[in-house]
Amino acid sequence: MSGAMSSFFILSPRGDTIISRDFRGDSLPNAAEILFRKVKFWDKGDAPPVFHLDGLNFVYVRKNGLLFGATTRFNVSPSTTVELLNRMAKVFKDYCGVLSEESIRKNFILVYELLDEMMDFGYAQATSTESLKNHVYNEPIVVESAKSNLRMPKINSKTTPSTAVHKPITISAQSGGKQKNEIFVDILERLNVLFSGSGYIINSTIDGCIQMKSYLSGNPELKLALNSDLVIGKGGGGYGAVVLDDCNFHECVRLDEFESSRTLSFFPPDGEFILLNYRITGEFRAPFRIFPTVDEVSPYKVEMTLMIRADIPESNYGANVQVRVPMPRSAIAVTTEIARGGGAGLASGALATSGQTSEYNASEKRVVWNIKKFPGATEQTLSIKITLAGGGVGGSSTSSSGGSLVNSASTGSMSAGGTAPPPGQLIGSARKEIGPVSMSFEIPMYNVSNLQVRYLRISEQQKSYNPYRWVRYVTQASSFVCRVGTGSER
Amino acid sequence: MTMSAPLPQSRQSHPSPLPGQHQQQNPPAYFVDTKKGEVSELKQLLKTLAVEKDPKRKRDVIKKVIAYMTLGIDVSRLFTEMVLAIETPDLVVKKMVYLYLCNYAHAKPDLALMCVNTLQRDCSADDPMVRGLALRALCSLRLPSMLEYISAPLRRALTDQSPYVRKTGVMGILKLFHLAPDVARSANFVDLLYNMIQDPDPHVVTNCLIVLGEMLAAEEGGMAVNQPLILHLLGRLGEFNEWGLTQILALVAKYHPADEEELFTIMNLLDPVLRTSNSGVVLSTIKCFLHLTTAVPDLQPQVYLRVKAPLLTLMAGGNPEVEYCILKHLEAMVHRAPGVFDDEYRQLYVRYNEPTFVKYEKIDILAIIANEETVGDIVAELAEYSTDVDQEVSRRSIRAIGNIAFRLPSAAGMVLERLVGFLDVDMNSMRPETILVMRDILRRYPERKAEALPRLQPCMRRVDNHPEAQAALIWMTGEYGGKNFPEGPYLLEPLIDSYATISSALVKLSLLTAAMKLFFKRPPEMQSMLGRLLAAATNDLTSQDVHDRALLYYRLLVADVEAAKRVVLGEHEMDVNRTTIVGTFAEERDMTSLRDKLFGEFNTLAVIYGKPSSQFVSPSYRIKPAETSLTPFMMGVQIGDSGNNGNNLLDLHADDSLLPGGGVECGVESESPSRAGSTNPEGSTAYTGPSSDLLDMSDMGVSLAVPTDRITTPSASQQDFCTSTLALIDSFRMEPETFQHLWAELPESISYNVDLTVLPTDGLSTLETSLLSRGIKCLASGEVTDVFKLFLYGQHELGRLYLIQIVIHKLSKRLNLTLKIGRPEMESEGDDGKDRSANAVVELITQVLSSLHLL
Repeated sequence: MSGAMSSFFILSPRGDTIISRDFRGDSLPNAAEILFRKVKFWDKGDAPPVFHLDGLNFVYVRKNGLLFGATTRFNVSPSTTVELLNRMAKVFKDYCGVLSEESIRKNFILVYELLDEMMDFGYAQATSTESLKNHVYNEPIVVESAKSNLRMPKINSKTTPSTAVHKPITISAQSGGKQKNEIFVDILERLNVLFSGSGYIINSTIDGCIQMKSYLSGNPELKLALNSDLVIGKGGGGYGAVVLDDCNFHECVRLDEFESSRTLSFFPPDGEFILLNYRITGEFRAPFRIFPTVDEVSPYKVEMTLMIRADIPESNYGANVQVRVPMPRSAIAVTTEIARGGGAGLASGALATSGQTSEYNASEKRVVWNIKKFPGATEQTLSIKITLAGGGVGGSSTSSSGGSLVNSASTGSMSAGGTAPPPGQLIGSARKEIGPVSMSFEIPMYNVSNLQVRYLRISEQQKSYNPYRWVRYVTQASSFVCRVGTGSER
Repeated sequence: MTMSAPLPQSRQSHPSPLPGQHQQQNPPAYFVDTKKGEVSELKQLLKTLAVEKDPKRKRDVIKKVIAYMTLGIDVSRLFTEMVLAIETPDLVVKKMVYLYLCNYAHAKPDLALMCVNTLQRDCSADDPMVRGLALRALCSLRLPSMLEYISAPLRRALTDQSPYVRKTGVMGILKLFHLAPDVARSANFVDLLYNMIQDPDPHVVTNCLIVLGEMLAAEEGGMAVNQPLILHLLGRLGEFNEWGLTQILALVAKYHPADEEELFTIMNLLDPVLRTSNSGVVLSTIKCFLHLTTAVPDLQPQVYLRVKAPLLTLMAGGNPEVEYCILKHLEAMVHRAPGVFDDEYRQLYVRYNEPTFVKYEKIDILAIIANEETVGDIVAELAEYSTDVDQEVSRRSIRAIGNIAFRLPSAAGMVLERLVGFLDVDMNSMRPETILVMRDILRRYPERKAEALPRLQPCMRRVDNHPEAQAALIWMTGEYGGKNFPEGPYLLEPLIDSYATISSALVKLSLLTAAMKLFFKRPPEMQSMLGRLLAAATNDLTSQDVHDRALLYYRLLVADVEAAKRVVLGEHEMDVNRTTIVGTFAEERDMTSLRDKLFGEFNTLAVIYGKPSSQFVSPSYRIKPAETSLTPFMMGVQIGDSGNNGNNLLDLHADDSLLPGGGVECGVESESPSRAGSTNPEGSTAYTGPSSDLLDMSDMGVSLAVPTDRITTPSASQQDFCTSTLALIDSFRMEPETFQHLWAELPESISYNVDLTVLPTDGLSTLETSLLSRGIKCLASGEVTDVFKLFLYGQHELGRLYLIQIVIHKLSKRLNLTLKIGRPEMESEGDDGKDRSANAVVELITQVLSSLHLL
């Protein structure tokens, strides 16, 4: 059922209370502190976003390192509360430009004002950015965005700097005559792909969305057209059609023409919003393929070769590619080497490895391989040499003298209770611990699903009104993982 | 008042309750270091404010006060000056002062009265924004002394022309209610609010629903819901924002549609709401669907199918907190709608970069949705997680693999094979957890011991530091280490010999019991070992329990070896052919009734915590449970039946394969073989099938979740049953034609729904033979797409005829029973008696169901 929030607060990553508002006087004075301690020292894994302590219920979400927390004594709907916190964070972001500790601190009066308009006695009131505009009088203090959350490399001069998206929504209205009418449309696809050790795709989904941020004056009605052969619902669609499993829409969207012409009409709300969320679980061509091979060179040495192929057109590239490979706990030495472009001349080899780094992080037992720019239709290879500890289980004995290596030839000499497994078993268990290989990347101006924005129009054409429309496509890795086969797997 | 400078390094160790200052390069620097006397300086600044011309400077001073206030510094002594600052046309300043007032009014109640005049005047200002703000502030001061000043402006606000003021006024009523419940009640605000639901502004309507809901929660369980209200709100659905929608949906979920047509109208109106991107709204809608269809169980599987895709899409939105809440609700639903989510199991595969609270949930659900087809994939996937660096992920996935074996007997062999493989991996807590899971699997499938036991042997020494796992190993050795496992005694011997080094009392206790059990199975090998163990344990001073148990065993053995054997091995071990097989673990049964309870609280925190709200919501915040004034439509009466008797029988006709003679199992034919075994009056174990041990069975009947409004009182029905009320005539036969004729003619006596925990595994034959043993015969039975159907009949000694139709829905596992009673002419019993005998039939059938562990 429904129920009210008792209090709301925003905490910095260190646990400082930046904003705190008591709605009903029935929370605890130190609720923010309790939440922070619980979240930080949860007994098993990450603290769940909803928990109960001494009659008080805590709900929190994490945004850009900040904690947005609420308490309540009612048996509220957890989803509604989480959505409300997300919405508050979004409104603060719209008004402050960016969501960071600094921007919230500098705009704390504005944030309190927004909070008082959004919430009354702990119940949600108007929470849309544009309806709040009528009731909010403080002006934002602009904060430089340290790092945009969507790292968009500049491609050509026709692009607007991606930081344009990080200005507060009210700025354009205030700067007087020179207001810029623009609207940003991002088709963002997050990929979840799981490869088996033999390169077969176990699971693959695309979580996509069309995200918009509108700085249009006068709030005109817009029409956005998608692929005309778009099919919704699994199992439908002819050859080549884009098939979505399912999708949902922002509340502003009217779907009158959606069934007939795949067109969405809507009055864009101010600020950032997600017009459409969609989900695809069918087969698709993964932009990267990962081929790990593991060889046992000697009883205590393992060599791993990691080949990655970019299955995207030459004109595209993967940006900020990072590949991570967990190493066995019994590894005592790991060396990595980036392979030169196979067979090609020295020059191209140097080109291929430029902007690449690889290192072994001994404390995390992990190899990290960074590739700044991974051109389409190319392959990159990393070889990893692993030396395992000579005896003992689980790498507990770090001293691996040469003597133990020699001894290992005669297994019968192990006397102490026989706890140390023979080398074969050691290497087998070490092999199981290698991987899985996980990969993160961004591919600008490319999307896997082929979902396209055919056009974005202002429905009543006015000659004088011609806003800038920025349409971008981005593909990101959400969970892009390849398991390292143990030979016996499927 | 001092603001010492918390040093940055001190924050590292423990979070400071005060927000520390954030060093910034440039002003405005509200959070810079403050010295003693800063507040006094502010006081001076505020005093000059009245003559300050520059609005910007004025704002800055007030801002500074608010900054201190939010830092937790006490600036309450500036109250007088702040009250003066309220007289300003600048709304930014006004809002800040209001914020200040609301914060400190309770600390300075006498001073707060100073601002009342201004606030009251502002409540009549020209600018609706000012009116609204002043009213909100006035109501938020939380001072009982304010009461007399609040009422008039509040009442005025309710008819204000600005919706902003009206909605603030409505919320003001709730604030007043919390300040002085009696004042608010006596001022007929409730009636006013009910009228205001017609307000043209959706925000005002939303607030009306909120305020009424909370004001009436304790006494009336929230707002009264009726058809005009619901239709009015549903008609305006499109005007409301998502928070308004959730309020409306909460009311719709309480509504009982008048008939089937209205039900479908409402569901069609709500269907587009499932496409919104707000998970709270979608879950509220699902709750509506589920509550509205409780009367029509046939529809529920369709509801689950309909909501599947929207839920998965919301989950994929990339917001782990939202995903967590949905997963918790998904878990509640997969228990209710087995099979519906099975094919989407890949969506529940764990992603490496998810927070663990999402991972844990996914693993748990994977175990529930595994079916015969997907079990291979799912177990292989879970096996991958078993080596996860997060110990809890590893532990849960192993547990999940075990749970799959409990649910799917066919997978037991494969699961056991996997688990045996885990024993070789030296990682985390894999081995101990695996051992614990294997113990539970063997309790369920003892016949698998030969595969598992030899592999467990090398583990005994490797789990030294996990007493629970070691105790489980010892228990298995004692329990199953008899004939088929000659190594048994030698597995215990090293432990017995190193008894002094064992530190855990748990291990010692299980060692004692296991040694005793093995002694009776393999006396020659065990005798000396047991002697040594008992000697060591009786001299053990570290644990009283160990000492006492050892002494007990010793004295038992001295007194009477046969008695000791009976005590230690229990009944089942005396008979070599029988072993205890755990059908359903007791915890699992408790869970089922808990799940039902929680399902009533769908889309609340109760689902997240897995506890009913009465356990974590304090009484003053609870909502009074709704009165059970159900319409006949909601009583579980099948809609089609009233106007169309025999409807279901016609269905049967349509399907040729179900006609007698067309491949139907006729109960009559399978009568003789079943009777001998099943009427054994002393069926001592509950697992040998139905028995006619009446008292025993009626005890079970009472503990069943039979709705009390159906079965009068346990004692009365028990008595009914124990007397000859249900002495059914064995020799009675009925022709299909007669049945059909009577079915169409007779009125329905009772319709009863119950949820099965499992479906009958072997089709319907066991159920039929069990029913037959109680005198209820089967005319026809069969399977039609998603349901099992049975047509049963029986005749009472006194001549009364019972015609029964049972429909079991495979997806929801819901069993629907319809009973019609035919009375011979000479019988002239009152309706009361008829009802009682109807109840007796229902009870008899539930007993049969529970004896087959279907309930």
